[in-house]
Amino acid sequence: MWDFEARKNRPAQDNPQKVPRAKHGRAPDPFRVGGWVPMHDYADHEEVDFAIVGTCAGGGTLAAKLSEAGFSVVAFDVGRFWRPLQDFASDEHEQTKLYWTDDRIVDGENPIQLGSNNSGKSVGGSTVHFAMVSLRFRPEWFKSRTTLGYGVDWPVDWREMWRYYEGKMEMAGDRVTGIHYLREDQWRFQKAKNVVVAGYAIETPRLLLMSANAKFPDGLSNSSGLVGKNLMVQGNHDAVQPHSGTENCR
Amino acid sequence: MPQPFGQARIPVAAIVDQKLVEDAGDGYRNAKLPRLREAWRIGLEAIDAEARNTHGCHFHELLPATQDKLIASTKKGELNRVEWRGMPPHLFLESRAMPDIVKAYYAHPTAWNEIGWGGPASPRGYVRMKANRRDRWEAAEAKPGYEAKAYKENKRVGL
Repeated sequence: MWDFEARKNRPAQDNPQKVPRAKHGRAPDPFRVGGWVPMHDYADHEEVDFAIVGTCAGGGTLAAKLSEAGFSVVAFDVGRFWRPLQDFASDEHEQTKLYWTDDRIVDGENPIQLGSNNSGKSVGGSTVHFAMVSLRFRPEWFKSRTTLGYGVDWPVDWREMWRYYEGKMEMAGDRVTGIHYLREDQWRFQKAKNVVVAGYAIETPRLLLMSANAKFPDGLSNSSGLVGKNLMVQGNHDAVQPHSGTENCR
Repeated sequence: MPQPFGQARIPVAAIVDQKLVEDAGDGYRNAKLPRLREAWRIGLEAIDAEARNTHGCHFHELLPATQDKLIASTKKGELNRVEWRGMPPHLFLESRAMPDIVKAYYAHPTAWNEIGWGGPASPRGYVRMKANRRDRWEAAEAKPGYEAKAYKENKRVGL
């Protein structure tokens, strides 16, 4: 098979789990086996217009739009830069290398049931493995407690959210000056005029809550006190139920 | 886990054991459960202790129906032996043992054959997206009364 050949002929050092691929002015082209696309490199001391944490549907899209508009952008993610056409066997177990499997604790009265695949660990985040289902929220789902009798009512109306579907974005000014990040076993600091945090409903609140200081005792962007609260994910259901029987030994 | 007759056995215990060797977490963990390896060690020891205490033999020596009953009491939270070391038995079953076992089973191509699923579509992707269409590598569904038709069509699958 062609993908087997590509895998076999891959240079030994081209292993994204060992050496970053997006370097030296180029990044992998996910649509061509072995292909590359040009990528602008910025030095850590160059103050870029935007540093974006997270490259999933939010951060990745924003990075593309801002770059196209002429801004200097550096996007960060915790995972590898996969080549989807050649890095994966068609096998569920093997593909779990995409998942964010660090130990994250769920607690409280109603601990949320997550899935290993709720977060992806890769450049592109969960868009690399998501199930390609991205439904627009229906008007009644914004008031699900009132209209449908389950969940909670959202504090926003569907009309307020609608414009975001059209691709409009508003930026809130942060007082940060850049991002500390770890790459190839070395801590670095990227200077940036603006920092965007786009790390899913788990890592974004975690970063914001961890940013608490004397001036912002509840963390940045948390004047509402709602950061990290009321998290909902897609539902999971038990597939197998045990049965009862009679007693005895073999 | 019960497996159908006439198909190769899926090495469920080995796959779960591999997960334990790798210490591969799930990305989330209920605060009331210890980490992966410890949860399995405590859970298996406690279930076996329940079997020995109630029936006088190891869990693997129980008749399948009795094993089922013991597992059912684990789910109902009726067990509280000291061997559980404070770990909620129903949580071990629902959030540790069952997901690990079911995922191991259905990650195996033999189980995909059993339910008529062609496996992950990557890297080729799905091409025929319309209703009642399937890509050439996907098996036809054996609808009741039309098994022979599906069998004939499926001889071409994967060629």
